[in-house]
Amino acid sequence: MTVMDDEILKMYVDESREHLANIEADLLAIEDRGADIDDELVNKVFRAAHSLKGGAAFLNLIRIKELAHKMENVLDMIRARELVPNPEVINILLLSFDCLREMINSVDTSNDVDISEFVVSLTGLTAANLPVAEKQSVSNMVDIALPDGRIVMHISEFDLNHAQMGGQFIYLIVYDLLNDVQRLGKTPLDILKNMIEAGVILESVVDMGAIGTLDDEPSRLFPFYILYGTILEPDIMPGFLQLDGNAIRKITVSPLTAKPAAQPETIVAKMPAAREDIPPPQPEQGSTNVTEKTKQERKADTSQETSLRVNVQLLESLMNLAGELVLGRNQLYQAIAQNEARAIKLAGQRISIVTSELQEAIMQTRMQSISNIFNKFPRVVRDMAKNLGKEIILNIEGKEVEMDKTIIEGLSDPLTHLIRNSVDHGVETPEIRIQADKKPAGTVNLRAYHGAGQVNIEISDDGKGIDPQKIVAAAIARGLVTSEQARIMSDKEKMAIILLPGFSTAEKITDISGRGVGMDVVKTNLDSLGGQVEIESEIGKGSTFRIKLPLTLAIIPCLFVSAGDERFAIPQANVEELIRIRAAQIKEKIELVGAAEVLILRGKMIPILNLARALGMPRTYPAPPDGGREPERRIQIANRRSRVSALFPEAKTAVVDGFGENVPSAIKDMSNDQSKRLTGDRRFHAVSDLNIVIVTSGAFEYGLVVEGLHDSIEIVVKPLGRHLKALREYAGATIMGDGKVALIIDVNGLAALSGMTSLAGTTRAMELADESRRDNFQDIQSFLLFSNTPEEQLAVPLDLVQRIEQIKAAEIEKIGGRKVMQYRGVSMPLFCVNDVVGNIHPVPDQKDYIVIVFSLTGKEVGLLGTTPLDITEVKISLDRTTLKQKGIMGSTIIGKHTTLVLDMHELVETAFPELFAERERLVQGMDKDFTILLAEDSEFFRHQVTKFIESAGYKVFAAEDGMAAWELLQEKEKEINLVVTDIEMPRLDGFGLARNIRANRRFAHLPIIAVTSLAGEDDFARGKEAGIDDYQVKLDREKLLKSIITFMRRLKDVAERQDT
Amino acid sequence: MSAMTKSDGGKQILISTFYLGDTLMGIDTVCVQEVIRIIEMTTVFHAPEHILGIINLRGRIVTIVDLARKLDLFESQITPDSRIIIVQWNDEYVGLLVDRIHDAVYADRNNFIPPPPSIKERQGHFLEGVYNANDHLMAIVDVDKVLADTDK
Repeated sequence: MTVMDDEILKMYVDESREHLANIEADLLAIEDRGADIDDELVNKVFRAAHSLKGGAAFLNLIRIKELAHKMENVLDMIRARELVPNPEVINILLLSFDCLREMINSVDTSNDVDISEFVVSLTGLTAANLPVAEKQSVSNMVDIALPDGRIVMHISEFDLNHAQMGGQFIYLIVYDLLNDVQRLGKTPLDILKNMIEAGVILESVVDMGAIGTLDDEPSRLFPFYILYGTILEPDIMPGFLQLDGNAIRKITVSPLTAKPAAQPETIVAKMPAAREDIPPPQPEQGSTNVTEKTKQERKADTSQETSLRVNVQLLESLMNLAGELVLGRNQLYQAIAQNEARAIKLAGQRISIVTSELQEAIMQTRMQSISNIFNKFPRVVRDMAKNLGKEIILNIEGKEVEMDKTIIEGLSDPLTHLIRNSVDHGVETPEIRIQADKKPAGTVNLRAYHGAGQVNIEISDDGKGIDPQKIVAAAIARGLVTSEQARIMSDKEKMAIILLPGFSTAEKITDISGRGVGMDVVKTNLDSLGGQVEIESEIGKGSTFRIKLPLTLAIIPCLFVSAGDERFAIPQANVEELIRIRAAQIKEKIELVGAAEVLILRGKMIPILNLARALGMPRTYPAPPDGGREPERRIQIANRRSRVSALFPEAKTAVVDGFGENVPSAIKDMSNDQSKRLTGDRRFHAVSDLNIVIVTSGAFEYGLVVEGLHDSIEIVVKPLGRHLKALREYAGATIMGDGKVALIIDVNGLAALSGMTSLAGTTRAMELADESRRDNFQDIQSFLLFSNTPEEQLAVPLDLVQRIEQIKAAEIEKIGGRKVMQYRGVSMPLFCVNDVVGNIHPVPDQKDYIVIVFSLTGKEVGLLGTTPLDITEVKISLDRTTLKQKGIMGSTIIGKHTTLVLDMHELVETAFPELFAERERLVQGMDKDFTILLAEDSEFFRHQVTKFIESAGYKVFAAEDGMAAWELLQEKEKEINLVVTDIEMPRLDGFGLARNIRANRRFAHLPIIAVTSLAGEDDFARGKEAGIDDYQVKLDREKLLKSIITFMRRLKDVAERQDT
Repeated sequence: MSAMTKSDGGKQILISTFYLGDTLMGIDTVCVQEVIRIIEMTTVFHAPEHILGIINLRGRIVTIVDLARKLDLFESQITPDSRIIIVQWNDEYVGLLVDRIHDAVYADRNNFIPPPPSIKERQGHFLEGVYNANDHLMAIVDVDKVLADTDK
């Protein structure tokens, strides 16, 4: 070794690592195919072992050489189909490769490693599969001697015989390291590599004994002997090896000068497995010992790897960019010297572009494929499954995903633990799986993919899942959470308990995956990588651990926010969404649950935290007032509101709910009124709009109330000094463009610090969620807005509108005092609102009109107007008194204007009574003594439908949701003959109501008609299933009425038949 | 490796002296990186009371310690004379806020006398000793102890 360059050794180690990198996967693939050998694959592994052996011999790494050699023999037999690669065999090979890897990693001490265990096993494999006659040859050693009688190497007879098979020639080749190698600018490894291409290296050795003293001839100072088996003919050998013919000697085995080695006994003693009576190797034993060892070694492995291979192209582009940067700097200097603002700007831009490209390119050099860690999992899973007696299929997806080197390295342990966890605790044994009606083989999926600027890694299994109740029980027993806390936790949070320190390690100390790191360590590791873990699980179905990681640690995109006078950065990865709540809506959107404020967002409860308050910053706005300061504040709020309303016109509906014409004063009154309530309720005291950053911290989301939202910028993360490391609320600091320092908020730490937990689960929270859901359902209705005259805004429910046509005045015909127009081949009656309703401005004479086409009672009618304005979805609240008259449902405010909402049925009925003759006929002669139960959550529709059914002469009980209807039904059991229900309702929906009714003998006979805004095929089928008899579109009252009458008639018939 | 490699005992060491209020104090110059004027600081909320904030020192984040407060003397007021002594400590830079920079004097560590018992225990703990320079008593601060103490 002394004469060998360190560089060669390093090269050998690097190359060997590369060879070993994918060995596991290949071996496992070989195992999978069993007797169906894939030559290519086996060759690949064989070559790896062979290359390792070749280099090791040269570098005098005797243990590595020996082990690699034995493995090579086994692989050769597999290749020759003399040995079936069953799990036993592969196991031994895997363990041997592990050992090789260890030795390569600490190559300096590799010669001291005890490899006898592996050698025994491997030799056992070879010997066990040989014909008896050949067995002895494995342990028989042959000496290879030079013509001068000096023995340069020993080799087993078996190897020699083997190499000679298939017409191979055996050569003893001698290179002079000085003259033949070094002077040609090659390394011995190059030579070996070249030779491996065309044959096998049986043995190689540097003959130290030949190194003479200084007095000797200097020509042959470093002879390097290689015993080489190849199919190459002797005459082409010198050309192939670029050697003088003298240096190559062909060796024939039969007349070999060899005799049985001088000390076969000692060798045999070392390799007892070569004997026939030795039991086959016991992989079980070996595996436990050895995996333990490899685990420790592997850790060392990652830390040792300090050099990095970089794609040459990438390096080129880095060079280019560096050149560009220099160019940019020169330009900048020049521009500064000339004091040309424009040129300076240009140079600045150029440098900026180059800098970001440079940054990206440098980042890329650090990027590594995640396959580096994924590749070891097939092995991990296989070994564990075997030990646990489970069958597990591991699917890996997304190996090509690249991440920062540091992250990849830090990810290895937590991922291994999670995989082990899935195999150990997730997937059940085949027996249990069969009992549970699952396939005996479990599946573990490992998936990496990019998403939202992050890398997502999912580890999922189809095992038994995690029972949140059990976890909570255990956590309470350990005193990690109180039962009070547990009561208000969501399942997701309960699941997250397993990540708490002191939970997992305590429980799983005896389990396989409990060894080494516990789940809390997984969490800590991932936290330090800026990652987040989410756990999803369904009992009996399986669990999924989802990890989100940044692509890189050094530079991360952050959202800047301000609180007080300070700016803070929140990693974009934690930011879910930004919400601005207008001052006017604070009361609606923010509720108090216990002492905590929560935001109601799309029916979800999200706890909120004021950043300034959480950090203990001095407040920048006045503290909540007592009664004394109220007047002043009231004005403030009112002012704010009107300003806000101007900015956000849609806020109007909320502000002026329920008010009539006098809009400006209404806003003011309302605002004052609200502010009084605001302060009175002590609900929320902020005087302005609220900016809320919804952040996610793994288990749950919360809202961070900040004073200002700024840009999202890529920042360089700088660590905080030791004095501030203990502060969990900060993840570090960064330097902003102006040179000032901004702190980076650690979303998890901040939440923990504020003792925050999600509130879903508390009774009060449920109530609130209910309320908000009800709010969502309430009276959201689409309207078509149009006008007759610029001063008047009219609205019709969009559901009723079929089409809007633009027509010329000339298209309107007047026949018999009626307006009609040609529409799709028939003449369609037209009317104006002012034809029916007094006090409405008449449609002025003009060239163009719009016609809103409705379909009522199967006939189409057209309503004339002048301009279509908008289609809008609003939460309306009708004023039914102020402007009430026939044909008008009432008035409301839409988009700042008082708007009249038309009652199309009344209008049409009044304008064209003849269209309703059919209904009259139906209604007449019907028994009016029927009562209908109506379930409808929208006040607007409830009112409409009730009125309409009543107008047909029936009695109506109206309920505001399914639950209320169900209660009402129990109460008025005797009276109710038919149920009309909406589908979407809070508490109990239409389907639920129908199911309840059908399930109860007392009510099962009642006909149920569902009314809905939109009925799809799915709904229809679902409705049928739930027991709904008929579907009608809301607001098409004619059809609804017909349907009601049809059912009534049927009921009557049944009743009459029973009577008779 | 701690940069507070103290100068050899018995040899002369260079002491940077400064004032906290009216008290003359000194630290071993070996650990002093530089002295800067007060620049804009970012407050770190929830930090210990003696941490004034963090600054950007040529791309490094440097924690600023209110030395007077740390030594239980008083809370510093920032005046035009105030300076920050940047010291190197355990691979990081830390700034010490002082009221006024004074002088640099050579001193012999052997001539340090233990802090008088009248000094509060806590202060005494942070002092390497007291040195008499030209009839001026000077308290020598043990930077390592001051910075390593993370309570409070």
